[in-house]
Amino acid sequence: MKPRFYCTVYFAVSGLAFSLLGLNFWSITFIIFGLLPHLKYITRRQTGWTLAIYSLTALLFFTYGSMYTSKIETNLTGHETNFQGVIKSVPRLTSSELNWSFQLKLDTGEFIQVYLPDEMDSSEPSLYETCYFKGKLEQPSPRKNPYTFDYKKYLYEQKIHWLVKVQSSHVYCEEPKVPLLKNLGSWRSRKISRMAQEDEKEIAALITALVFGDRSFIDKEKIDFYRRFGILHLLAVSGLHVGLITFAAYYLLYRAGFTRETAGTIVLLLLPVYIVIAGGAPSVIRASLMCMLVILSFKMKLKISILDIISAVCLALLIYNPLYLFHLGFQLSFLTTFSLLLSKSILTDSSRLILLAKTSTIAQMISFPLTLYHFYEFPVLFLPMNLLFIPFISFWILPLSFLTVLLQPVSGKLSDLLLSIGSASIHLIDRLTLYFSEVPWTVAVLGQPSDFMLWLMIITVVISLLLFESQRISLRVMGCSLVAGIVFLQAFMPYFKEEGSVTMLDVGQGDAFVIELPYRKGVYLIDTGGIMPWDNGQTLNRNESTGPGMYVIEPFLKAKGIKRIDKLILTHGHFDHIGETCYLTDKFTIAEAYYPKSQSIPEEAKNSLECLVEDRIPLIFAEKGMGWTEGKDWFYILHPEGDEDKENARSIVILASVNNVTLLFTGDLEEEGENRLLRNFPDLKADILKVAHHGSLSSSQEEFLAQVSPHAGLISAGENNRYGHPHTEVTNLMDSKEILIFRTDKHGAVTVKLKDGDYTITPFLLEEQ
Amino acid sequence: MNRQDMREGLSHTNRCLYCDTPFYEEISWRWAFGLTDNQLLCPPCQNKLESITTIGCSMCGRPSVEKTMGKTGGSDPSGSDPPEIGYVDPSVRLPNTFIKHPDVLCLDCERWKDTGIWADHPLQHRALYVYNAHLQEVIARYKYRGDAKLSELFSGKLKKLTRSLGKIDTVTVIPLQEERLWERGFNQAELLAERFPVQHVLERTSSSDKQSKRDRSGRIAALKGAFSLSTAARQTDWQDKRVLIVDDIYTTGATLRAAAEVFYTEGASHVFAVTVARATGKMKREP
Repeated sequence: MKPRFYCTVYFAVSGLAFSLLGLNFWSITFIIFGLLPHLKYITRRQTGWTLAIYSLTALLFFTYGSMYTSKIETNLTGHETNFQGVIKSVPRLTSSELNWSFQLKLDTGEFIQVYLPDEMDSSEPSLYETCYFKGKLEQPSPRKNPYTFDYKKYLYEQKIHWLVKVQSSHVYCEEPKVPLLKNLGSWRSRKISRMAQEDEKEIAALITALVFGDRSFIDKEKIDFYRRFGILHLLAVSGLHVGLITFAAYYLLYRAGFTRETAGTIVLLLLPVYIVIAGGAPSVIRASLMCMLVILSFKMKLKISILDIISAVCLALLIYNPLYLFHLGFQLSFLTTFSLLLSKSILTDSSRLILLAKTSTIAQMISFPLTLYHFYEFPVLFLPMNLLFIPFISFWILPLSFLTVLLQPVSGKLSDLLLSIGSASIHLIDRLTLYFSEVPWTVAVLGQPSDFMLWLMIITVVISLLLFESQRISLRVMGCSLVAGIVFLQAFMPYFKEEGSVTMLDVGQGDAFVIELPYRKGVYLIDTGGIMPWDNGQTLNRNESTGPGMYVIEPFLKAKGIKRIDKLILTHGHFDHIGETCYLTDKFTIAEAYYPKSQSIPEEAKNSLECLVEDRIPLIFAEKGMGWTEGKDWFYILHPEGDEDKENARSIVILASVNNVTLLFTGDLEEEGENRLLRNFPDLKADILKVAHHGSLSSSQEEFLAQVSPHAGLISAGENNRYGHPHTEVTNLMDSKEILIFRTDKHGAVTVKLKDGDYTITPFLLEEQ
Repeated sequence: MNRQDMREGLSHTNRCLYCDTPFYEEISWRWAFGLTDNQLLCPPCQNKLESITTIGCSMCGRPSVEKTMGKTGGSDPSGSDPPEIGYVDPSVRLPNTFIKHPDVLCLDCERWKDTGIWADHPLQHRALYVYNAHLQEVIARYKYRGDAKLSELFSGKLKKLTRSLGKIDTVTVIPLQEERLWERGFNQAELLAERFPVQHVLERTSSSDKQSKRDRSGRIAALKGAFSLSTAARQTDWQDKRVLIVDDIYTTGATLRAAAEVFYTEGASHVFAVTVARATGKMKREP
C-alpha cells in the first residue's frame, strides 16, 4: 500500500524524538502506529516503497534534529560582561515587581533571559528596542524538588542557556527601526499594556487573553478555576477560536459587498497578521495555517484532505522549531485536532448539543493523559462546564472582545460601554467560580502517572475511541470501562504500595517533611516551610502566596495523588515552620493539626492557627506522652512538656517507626531540650535523625548525637542562608561520628524510602564535586 | 506529473473502481489502525449501494420494509412501480445473518411451501445489497461488459456474510450455459466466490433462455430439471451434507431453488445461498 502522509509525520516525529531524547519508547510507539495500517499489505511490493519513504523521513528528521541541537548550543563562555541585542519578548514585571524580565537576542543570534531592575528614573524597556548593558551571566538554577516547575528546562526549550541580572546604571536602549512585522508586534505590546490599564481589570485581562493570546494578566486563582473544570483551553487562542474569527471576517467582508474570491483573498492575507497579533503560540500558528491552506485549496480548486493539511502544518512547524515537540500547547493542539478528525464517524448524525458534548468528551479524553501528567488533576465536571462555557466564551465574550479592541481607537466611549457589558456578564461566572471552588469533589487528584502509565493511558484512550466507533453497544461500554479502569488504576495504585517514605522538601530556609505510610494508610506533613513576608506595611492576602506552599508542597503532594493530609504537625510557632499553613488549608483537606502545648503563642503564628480554626480543623496541643499507631507503624511525641518558654525549645519531637525503621524528628529543638530528652529517654536511638534547627550550632551537641547514634542525618537549610546554617561545627561532628549527611541546600529534596526495616536515601540533586 | 498525481502519490487517495475518479478514503480510528477494508468505491458510488442491514424474511432474506420504502427516487430500478407492500410484515427487523430456525416468512416463501419439496426443505438466502438502479448498472458492467475486477467489490463481503453459517461441506456456484460462458468469457458467480473453496458439482442439462427475460411463473417452469450433478459429483455421498451456493442476483429464487433441489434429492440436509443483489420489486427489462 502506498504511504499515508500523516504516517510520514509519525516517522518524522519519531526521528526527531530519537535525536532529542535518544532511544525512547515514544519514538517506537509512533513507528508502530505508522506501520499499523500497512501490516495487512506487508507482502505487497508497493509496501516496500512505502516503508522506504517512511525510513527516509525518519532518518532525515533524525539528522535534522541532531544538527539542530548542536546548533542551539551556547556560544557564550559565562565570562562575558558586555551585551548588545534586541528585546524579543514583551518585557514583564516579575512577581516581586522589582525586575523587568525579557528575552534578548544577541548579535550572535543566541537568546538570553534578562532581568533589569525596575527603577523610577529609567524608562521601561519595550519590545524590539536595541539595548546595550553590563551584567553577569548566570546559569539558570536547576529545580530542587520533584514535580516542581523546571525553569532551566523551560528556558532550554526556548533555546536559552543563560540569565543576566543587569546593574541598572549600565543600560542604554535605543528606539527600534521599524519594519512592518515588528511594527505589528509593538502595536500588539502597546495594546496589551493599554488593556492592562483599564479599570475593569478582569474583563480586560480576559480580552487580552482572547484577542492577544496573552493570559498572564488573569489571576492565578482564575486560571486555576479554568483548569480544574477542564475549560482552560478556552483561554488559549484555539482552533475553534481562529475558525470562528476567520469565518466571521469572511462573512462580514462578503456581506460588505466583496466577491467571495476577494473576501477569501483578504482573509488569507489577514491570517498571518493575526498570528502575530495573537502572540504566535504553536496552537495559533497551527489553526491559522490550517485555515490558510483550506482557503488556498479552495482558491486553487484543489480538493485537499484536511488530514493532509494538518500533517503538512505539523511538519512545517517541526522543521521551523524541532523543540516544539516538547511544547505542551503544541502537543495538545495537534493531538486533539487530529483525534477529532479521526472521530468523524462518531461525531456525525448528532444534534448541536450532542455534537458539542461529544467533541468536548473526545478532546478531554485524548488530552487527559498529558494534562494529568502536567497538572495531576482530572476535571470531573468538564462536560457540563464545557457545554456552558464554550458557547459563553466563543459566541459572546469573544466577539465582544474583538469589538472592544477594534472600537478602542474609534470611540473610547463605545469600547468602555462594551467593557462594562462584558464585565457584568463575567460577574455571573464569578458567582459560579465562588460556588464551585468550595465543592471538594469537582476535581479528582490522581497524581502524576509514571512514564509507563502515561503510555498505557494514551494507548487505552486511543483503543477506547476505536471501540466507540463500533455500532455495537457492548463494545462502546467496553471502551468506557477501559478508560474508567485506567483512571481507577492510577488513583488506587498508592494503596497497594508496601513501601513507606519520608521526603524532606527543599523549602529554602525552613522545614517541611512529608511522611507517607505504607499502603497510603496515612499522609503526615511535619511543618510547612514559609518565607517571612517583607515588612512593607501591606497586609498579606492569604491567597496571594508566593511561598513554598504553592511552588513546592502543593505540586509535590498533588503529583503523588494526595488531596488529604491526615495529620499536619506544626512543630512550633516560627514562620519558617508554619508559614504556609493558611495556603495549605485552602488547597488540601486537613484532618487534624498538632501544635505544641505552651503558655503563649507568638504573634507570627496567630494567623496560621486562625486559618486552622476557621476551617474547623481539630487542633491538638501536643505534649510528651501522646502518640498513635497505624498498623505496625507507631509515632510517639517525646517533647514538649508545656513549660518551655523559648519558642524553639517548645518544638514537638516525634519518634516514629515506619516499616521498622526509626526516625527522630526534632523541629528546632536546642541544647537544653536535647538534655531534657536525654534525661527523660536515656535509651533514645534512631536510624535516621532530622537534625534540629537547620543544623545550627545551638543544637546537636555531641552527647545527643552519640546517644541517638543515627546512620543518617537530614538537614533542611536554605541555600546561602544568612544564618550560615548548617554550621560547619555540626557537620564536622556528624562526619566524625560517621553520620551520613543529606542537606537541602546542596541536595535539594531528599527522599527516604522505607521497607522491611531497611531504607534508601535519594537526594534529588547530586552534590557538585 | 500534474497536481492530481502528486496528491495520489503520497496521500490516502484511491481511484474508484466503478467511476475511476480519484477520491480520499473515509477516515476513522479503525482506518488509522488498518482495520478497515481497502476502500474501492468513491463515497458517491459507495453511498448509492443500499446495504441490507435488517431483513423481514428469515428464509429468502428479503430486506425489512422501511429500507425499500423509505428511499425514494431510484431505489427501485423500475422507478414508478410501487414497492411491494404486503409481502412482508413491516414490524419484522431481523439482522441480516443466517439463523437456525427460519420461521418468519414473507408471502413469497409461504407460497413456495406449497410447491414440490419446499414444504419441509429450507433454502435460506442472504444478499449484500438491494438490487437498485445503481447496482443494476454495476452488475451489468461486471457481467455483460466484462469488467471482472468489480468482483473485488463483493467477494470479500460475501465471505463475511457467511460467517453466521457454521460448518459447510461444499461451496458451489450456479454454472453458466456453454453459450453464455463463451459470450462472457467468465462465470460471474465463480469470480464472486473466489474467497471460497469452490467445487464445480453442478451442470446445466438443457439450454434455456436468459432467466432475466422471464416472469416468475415462466422462470419456475423453465427451470424444472435444469440442473444436475456432474459425473464426478455423483460419486460422492450427499447424505446429510450442508451446501452453500453463490450467485450474483436473487430475483424470485427460482434458479437457486432449482439448483438446491438437486442436492436435496441426493439427501443433503441444508442448502444455503448468498448473492450480491436482492431484487425487491418489478424488474426493468434489460436492454
